[in-house]
Amino acid sequence: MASGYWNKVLRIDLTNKKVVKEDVEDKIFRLFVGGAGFGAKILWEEVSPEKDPLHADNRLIFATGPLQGHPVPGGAKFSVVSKSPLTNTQADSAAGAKWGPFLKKAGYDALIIQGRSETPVYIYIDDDKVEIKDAKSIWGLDSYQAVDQIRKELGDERVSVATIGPAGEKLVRMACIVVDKHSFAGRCGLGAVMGSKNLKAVAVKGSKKVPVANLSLLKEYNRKYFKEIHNASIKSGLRPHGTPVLCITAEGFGDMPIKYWTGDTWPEGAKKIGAPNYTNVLSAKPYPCLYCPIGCHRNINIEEPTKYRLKGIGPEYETLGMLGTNLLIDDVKAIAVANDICNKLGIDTISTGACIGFAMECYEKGIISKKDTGGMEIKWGDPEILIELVKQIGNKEGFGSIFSEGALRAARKIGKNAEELVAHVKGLDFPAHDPRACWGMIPTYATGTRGACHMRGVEEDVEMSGFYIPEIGITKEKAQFFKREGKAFLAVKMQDYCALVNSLVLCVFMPDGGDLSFTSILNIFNSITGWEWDVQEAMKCGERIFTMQRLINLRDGYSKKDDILPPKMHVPAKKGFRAGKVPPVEELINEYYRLREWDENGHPSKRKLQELDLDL
Amino acid sequence: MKVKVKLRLLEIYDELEMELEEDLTVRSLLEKLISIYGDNLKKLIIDPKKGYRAIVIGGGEVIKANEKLKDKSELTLLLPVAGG
Repeated sequence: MASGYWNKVLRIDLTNKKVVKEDVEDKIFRLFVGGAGFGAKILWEEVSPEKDPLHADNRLIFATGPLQGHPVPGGAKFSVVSKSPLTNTQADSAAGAKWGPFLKKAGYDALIIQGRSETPVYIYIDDDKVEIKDAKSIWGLDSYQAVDQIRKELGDERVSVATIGPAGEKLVRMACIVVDKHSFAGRCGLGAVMGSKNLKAVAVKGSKKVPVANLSLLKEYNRKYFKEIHNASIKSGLRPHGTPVLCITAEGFGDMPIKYWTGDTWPEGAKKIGAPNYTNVLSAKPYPCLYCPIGCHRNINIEEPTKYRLKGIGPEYETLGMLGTNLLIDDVKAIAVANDICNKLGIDTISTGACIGFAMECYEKGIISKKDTGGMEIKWGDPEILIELVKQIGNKEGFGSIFSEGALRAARKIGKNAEELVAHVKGLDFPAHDPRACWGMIPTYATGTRGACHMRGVEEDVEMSGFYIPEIGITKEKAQFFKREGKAFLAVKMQDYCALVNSLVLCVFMPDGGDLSFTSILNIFNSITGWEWDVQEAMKCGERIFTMQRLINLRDGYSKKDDILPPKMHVPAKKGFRAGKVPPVEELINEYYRLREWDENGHPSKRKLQELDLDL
Repeated sequence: MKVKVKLRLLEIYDELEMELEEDLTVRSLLEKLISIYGDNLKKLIIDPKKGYRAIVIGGGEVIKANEKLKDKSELTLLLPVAGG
C-alpha cells in the first residue's frame, strides 16, 4: 500500500444494490494522483461514448487525493467526476466542507456509483459499514433540509452529507451537489447525474488514520504553511472579505460580466455588491472548510427588509458577478436571497445567472415576449424577476423550465438565432471572468475539458492579481495585459498545473490568494507519499491528466471545431480598461495547438501521448 | 498639469482631480496620495517586503511606478486581489 492512499475504492451498483471494495494498483495513483485525474481514468475505461450522461451506465465518481485525511491546509476537498448532462464532456467539479477527508478516513480513496435504484435512496458510509438506505422521506426536501434530516435519522450531527436538492431530482442540467449546506460541486450538472440514479445523498464519516510516509515532517509543514497562508490571506483581503473582495478590481480591469457580456463598465454596481460594502451590509463573517486557514465562504445575516431576511451562506464572487452585474442588479441583499434559493434547490449559480442574462437579452431584443414568459417583464436590473426566475429554473416550472436544459439547449429551442447570444464553450456557460480582459483565458476557455471555466487555468488571477509560479515559468513577463506573446504558454502551463491541483485535491486558493508556492505543495505531497517528485514530474502528471480528459472528449465526438469562443468574445469594449482591444482569439488558439502538439483536428501527437505514458 | 485619479481600493473608494508639477512619476503620485489619505492608504497599497502593490491603470495599460505622468490623464488605482 502506498503512503497517502488506501489503494481501495468503494463501488456501489444501485441497480442491484451491490457493494464491492476493489483494490487499486499503486501505478494508477502514480499516473493520475487522485481526484479529477483518477475520475478521468475511470470514465475513459468504463463509460462508452454513446451513453447519455443520464443513463444508468454513467459513472458518478467521488474521488479524494493524497492530501485528504490529514490536516493539510486547503486539503478538505474532493472531486466529483462524471460525464456531464450539460456539456456531454467529461466533467470534474470540486467541493469542500469535510466530506473528502471523511471518505478518506473511512478507508477509501474513491467511491464509484453506477446503475440506478428503482426507488430513492441515500448511501451511508461509516468506515467498513456501508448501507444503501431508503430516501423516500428525504426525496423532495431542499438540500439544507436533507442534510438536517439525514443527520437526525442517523443520530449523528457530525456526519458529512453531500446531497442534491429538488433540481437534481428533476434532472435540471445545471443541478449541483451540495455539501454540508455550505460547499458546492457546482458546475456541469453533476447533481442531475445523481438524481438520474435516484440517489439523494451520500453521508459519510470515518475514523481511520491514513498512512503517511513522514508524519513529523508533514506536521511541521502543516503548521508552517497554515500560518503563512492565513497571514497572506489577511493581506490579500480573502480572509476578511471572502471572494467578494475581487468585485471592484475585476470590474476595473473589465473582467466582470456586465449585461450578459454586452456591457463594458459598471463601477457603481461592483462597488455596491462587492467588498467592503458586502461585508458591512450583510454582516459577513468567514466560514471555513475543515483545515482551512482562509475561510473564504461567508456566513451572512440580513434582518431588513423582512422579505429578504436571511441567516446563512452568502454569495461568492462568481454569484455576485452572474446574478449581479451580469443582470445589472446591484441589490446585494436580493442577490444573497437568490443565491440562497439556488443553494437550497441545488442549482449552479453561474449557469443560472447565465440563463437569466440570456433571457433578459432575448427579451430586450424582442426574441421572446410576455407571451413566452407567462406575462413577466424580464427586464435588466429587476431583483424580483431574478428571484422568481431562480425559483422557476430550480423547480423546473413555468417559463424558467426551458432553462432546465441549460442556456444553449434553450436557445436552440427558441430559435431566431438566439444561439449566437449564448456565452458558452461546449455548452458550459462562461463564469464571471471575461477573457477579453485577461487573454491567457482565451485558449483555456476554448479548450477547457469541461467547457468555459476559470478554475481550470486561473489566468485571470495571474494577470490581475500577480499569482505567479516561477517554478514553471509563470512570471510577471508572461502576465502583461493585452500582449499576445506568452499567453498560449500561460494557458498550457496553468491548465496542467490546475489539473494537478484538482487531482491532489487541493483548494486553489491556498496558492492563489494564500501564496502557497508550488515547491511548498510538493513538500506536503512528498512528505505524505514519500515519492520525492520534483516540479517536472508533477507537471508531467498534470499534463497527463489534462490530456486524458481531452482524450475522453475527443473519443466522445468533440474536436477542433468546438475549441472556439462565442461571437460576443470577438467584440472589443467601447470604454474602460479594455476599450478597443481586439482579442487575437484564433492566433492564440493556433499557437496553443502548436505548444500542445495537437494536429488539425485537435488530437495530441503520438509522440506526446507516448511521452505522457498515455499510448492507449 | 492636471490628472484625474480614481481610487478603487476597497475601503478607500474615491475620485479626485489633482494639479501636479510636470514630469511627476507614478511613484511620486502615490506618495502624494499617501500624504492625503494617510496610513490607511499606505497599508493598502504598500507591501513592506515587495513595495507598491497597487496597480495603476490608464489608457488601457498598466503604468509602471517609474513612468512619468501625462497631462490630462485619467488613472485608476486597483488592488491585486485574488479569489474568483
